[in-house]
Amino acid sequence: MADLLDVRDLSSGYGHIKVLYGVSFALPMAGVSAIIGPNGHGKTTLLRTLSGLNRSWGGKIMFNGTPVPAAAEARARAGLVHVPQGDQLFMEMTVEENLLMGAYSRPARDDLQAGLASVFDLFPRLAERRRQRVSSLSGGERRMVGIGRGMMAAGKLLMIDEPSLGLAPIVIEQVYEALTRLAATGAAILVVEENPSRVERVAERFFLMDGGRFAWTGDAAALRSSSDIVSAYLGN
Amino acid sequence: MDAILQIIISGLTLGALYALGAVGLALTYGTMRMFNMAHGVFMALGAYGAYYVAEVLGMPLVLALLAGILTGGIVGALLHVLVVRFMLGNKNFEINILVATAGVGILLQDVLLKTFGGFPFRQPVQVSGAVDLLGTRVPWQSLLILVVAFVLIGAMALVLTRTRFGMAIRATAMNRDAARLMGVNTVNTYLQVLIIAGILAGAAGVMISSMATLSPEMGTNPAIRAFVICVVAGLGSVGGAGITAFALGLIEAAIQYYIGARFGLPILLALVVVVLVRRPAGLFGREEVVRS
Repeated sequence: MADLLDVRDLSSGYGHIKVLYGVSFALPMAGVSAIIGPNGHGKTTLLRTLSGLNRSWGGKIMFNGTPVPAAAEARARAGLVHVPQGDQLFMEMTVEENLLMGAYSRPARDDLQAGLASVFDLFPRLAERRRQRVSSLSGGERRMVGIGRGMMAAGKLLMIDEPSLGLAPIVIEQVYEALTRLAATGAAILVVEENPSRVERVAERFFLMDGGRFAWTGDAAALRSSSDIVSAYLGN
Repeated sequence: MDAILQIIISGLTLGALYALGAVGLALTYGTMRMFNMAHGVFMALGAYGAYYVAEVLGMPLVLALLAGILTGGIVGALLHVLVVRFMLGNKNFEINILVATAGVGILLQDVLLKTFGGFPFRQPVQVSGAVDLLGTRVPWQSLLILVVAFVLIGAMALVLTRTRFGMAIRATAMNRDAARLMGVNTVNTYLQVLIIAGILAGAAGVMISSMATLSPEMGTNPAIRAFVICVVAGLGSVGGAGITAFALGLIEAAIQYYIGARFGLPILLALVVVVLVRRPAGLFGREEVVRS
């Protein structure tokens, strides 16, 4: 079976500063993958370059068998969904409006009720808050809206940037429990996290990013057996 | 009682004119952080468009009014296609677009001057006469202005809150990157916003010229008021701009009645200064709250 995402020698950066140095990797049609590694080494830049928010400086991105279009909005419509760091919600809209915006790229005739129902099933709290403005929600609830909004796109790959960032441990657990349930539906998910301990039980394959390159790649078993390598990079 | 009714009617008329001018400007700024310095000339172009269709082509007034509105929309679209589109990615977009649209405004105003001359025409697109309402004479033109303003602004509000298209505009205004990640082509959104703002400005121009006369620089004063209203409301707050416009219209009408017509604007501006000292973000503006 062809790969869902096939990235070859991707480089990118900001202004004159190069951040990604020839990143290559591939993701299969389903399953959870995780990009781990210390902060400031290009994980977020990689996601932003994949979704088209950042211009790629070189290399190739094949998605679902075809080269990705240049514009971020065109990539979103192709099913490459990016849940960005810090949620980036539409703050003056309600929870429901945010979720409906998530489905913007879907055909107008699509029935969105099923999508809403599955988001509310995964995050019951959002059902209670559905008519509330997002700006009045807690950090954890906002994260749920962000992930739910990504789900609403019904894309082929869901890329989530640091779902645990800035949340209390108990909320992180809830978010990861939801991700585990989402993964069980057979969705293709790419999660970025600094620390692998949170994604360990959810993800099947890991990419350790260091200095804008993948320094180590392996599956869950390999991650456990080579914990010395990983801890050398993460310092714990 | 009679006086108060008079004040309310002329205040609402003024407010409707201000709202037509200010709401489009607020939408443009709120969505794309663009201060359109050519906004006043958009008004003049709308007024001349209506004048041309009615006076020169001799078409019915309703068509002339629509033509004036349409002229505004077309000019808005052209501004996007010929100028704004190329500057969107610029790092200093906010200041660059200010200068660019100021240049476009001067250019268009000179084109008007060259085409129609500086002679102050009478706007043919207006209705004469008055009607007795609760014992007060209300000019039909005032009612027309109110109807046009309510229909256009109401339609815009419905589009922005009830349609997919409007949701995309609001989403872009709140967070452009996120809107793109949802699949919104934000460059098109900006085109749509400039068309909407142009339509409102065109209508404002026709209505303003019906109360005064047509001249190439007729939009300058209304545009300044529109800017002031946007700042008092809080930059980018569309609903706030509408409410502020009507409030200022009513206040100005009251001042004109009780103190004198020439004190209207100065006292209004003094009030504005007080508001801005007390609330720098404007009446409806929010201080940026950053939470992660």
